[in-house]
Order: sequence, then structure tokens, then C-alpha cells
Amino acid sequence: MLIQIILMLVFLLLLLRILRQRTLGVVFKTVSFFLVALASYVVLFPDVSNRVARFAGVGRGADLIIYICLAVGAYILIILYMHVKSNELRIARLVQRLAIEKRHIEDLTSNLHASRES
Amino acid sequence: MPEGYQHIATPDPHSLWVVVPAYNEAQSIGSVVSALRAEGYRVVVVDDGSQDGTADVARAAGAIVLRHDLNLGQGGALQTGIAYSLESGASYIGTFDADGQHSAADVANMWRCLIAQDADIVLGSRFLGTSVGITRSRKLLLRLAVWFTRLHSGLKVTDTHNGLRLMTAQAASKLHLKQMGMAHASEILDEIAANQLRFCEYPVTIVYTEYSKKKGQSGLGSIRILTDLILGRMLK
Repeated sequence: MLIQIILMLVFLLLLLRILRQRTLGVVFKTVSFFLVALASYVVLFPDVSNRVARFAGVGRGADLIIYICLAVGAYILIILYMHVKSNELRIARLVQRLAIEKRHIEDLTSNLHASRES
Repeated sequence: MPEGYQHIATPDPHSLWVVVPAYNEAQSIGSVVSALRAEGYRVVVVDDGSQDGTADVARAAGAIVLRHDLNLGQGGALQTGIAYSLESGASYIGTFDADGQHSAADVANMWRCLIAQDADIVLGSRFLGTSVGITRSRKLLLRLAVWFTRLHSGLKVTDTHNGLRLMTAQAASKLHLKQMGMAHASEILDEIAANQLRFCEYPVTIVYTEYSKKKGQSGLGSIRILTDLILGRMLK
């Protein structure tokens, strides 16, 4: 079916992108590879997801996948939010330190000038 | 004003460093700094990335000025000013709003109160004191904030969002504000409770002008404070 071809192409491009990215570690790449493999398997054999869904108590395989996607998406969102917040705090600490150090330097130079004049 | 503190002598005014966080307050910062300087205190203005020349006005009025290269928020500016004052050898540290709603004359009385009660920190309270020109909705909002904070930190305070405070250097060194925004007011109370600091409240006068009302927090702002607090707790 057409949808299977489209999804397989998307997965393949995604995997290629991840594998070619030099900044990503081996663990991340391996996990991504297996996840894409699993996703491709479900796309090519949709009956499998139906069976798993029925086992989990969900009517259709497609519904089960939506539920899993929502849960994973929410999890990723929270993790990213925490990262953003902790980076915000780190930047703030830098801005604060910079302001203090600049002031200390000004204090030192003005003290130096004052002692020279006297 | 409560009786009985007038006879207490305050230490050398130079040992008190008053931190004034300011963001685009060029209009009011000059008179605020001058009033505090007239009492003999050292004034540390933390310019939180203003674009209106706040730093220049403050410097001209005799303040020690620190500048944030990015706007962090009032909590962030307070923490910077407190850290700098501690590093520069302050014995006492005050906090004071830049919009001119506080009275510089209250500071000396709060200082006497701190010494008389042997407290670590004195908090200004507008509900023990007088508020000039406060609107009904603002009063209600602040009461709600007080109620929530009492519930949250377990401290029996009458005014939780008052920018006028005075503390010993030792107490100040225990504050490590993580809330960069306006939620720092509640965070300070949390830290007081967590570090078991001895605190007292002192009635102060708040003058609401059109300017300070415009610069103050809106009802919507308080919802933001609440979300900041809850998320801050969750992500601790």
C-alpha cells in the first residue's frame, strides 16, 4: 500500500540522517536503529500491532500506537522543558557572575586611581 | 509605628548595603537612590538589562551600579546585588524597590527592629503599616498571595510580596535564589523557613503612584508567579 511506502521512506531518511550525524553517540545510533527497525516491522505487518493491541486491551493497533506516541511525546516534552530550565538557570548564573566581576574590576581600578592620587 | 525601638542606636549606616533591582526605572531610580544615600547607606543598583539609561541615572545619584547583560528578572537582580554586597564586606543587606513605592525613612526603623528583636531578617509589611492609594483588587490579590504563602511555607506573615527587607549578612548568605522572576518573594520565605531564620515583620508605608501601579504586577502576573513556584518545586 502507498502509506507503507511513504512511511518506510520517511523512516529510512530519518535513520540515514541520524547515522550520518557525527555528534551523536554510538548508543543513541544503535537505539535509533532498533527503534526504526521495530517501526518498520509494525508498518509492514500491521496485524502484529493489532494482536499486541488486543492483548493490551485496546481495540485497534493504530489506536495503541497513538497512545504510545502521546505518552512518549509528553515524556520528551517534560525532559526538554527541564533541560531548557536548567540551561536558563546556568545562563542566569553566568550573567550574574559577569555583572559582579565587572563591578569588582571597576572597584579595583578606582581604588588604584585613588591611592595613586593620594 | 510600634513604640519602643526609637532609643536603639543603629550601627554605622555604611555597614548597610541596600540592593535595588531596577529594570527600565530611569524615571524613578534617581530619587530612590538619593533618598537612600541621604540616610548614609551604600546603595547597590542592579540594572537588569534596561534600555532607558537607568544605570546612568543611578550612578549619577551616587549608587554602585551592576549591569546584567541580559534581562533576568527581579529575583535574579536581587541575588546579584546580595552576592556582590556580601563579597564587598557588607554587614547588613537591605532590599528596596526601584519604583519609589517604599519610604527610605522606614529602613532605619526596620534596622532598629532587627537589632532589638535579635532577628536574622525583617520583612516590611504594608498590612501592618499603611498603604496610600492601594486599589481594592490589588489588596484582594495580595491577601490571596499571603494566604497561599502561609499555606505553602508555614510562615505566619502578613505581607508576602513586599520588596522592603533588611537582613544580616549571615542570613543573606543563606539565600540562593533560583527564581529569576517575581516568584522570588515566596522563595525567600521558603528559604527563611528551611534555614529556620528568625524573622520579624515591621509596618511600612507603601505609596501607590500611577507610575508604581503601572510597573507593578497585574493579576495575570500572579498566575505566572504561581506556575513558576509549582514548576520550581517539581523540578527541584
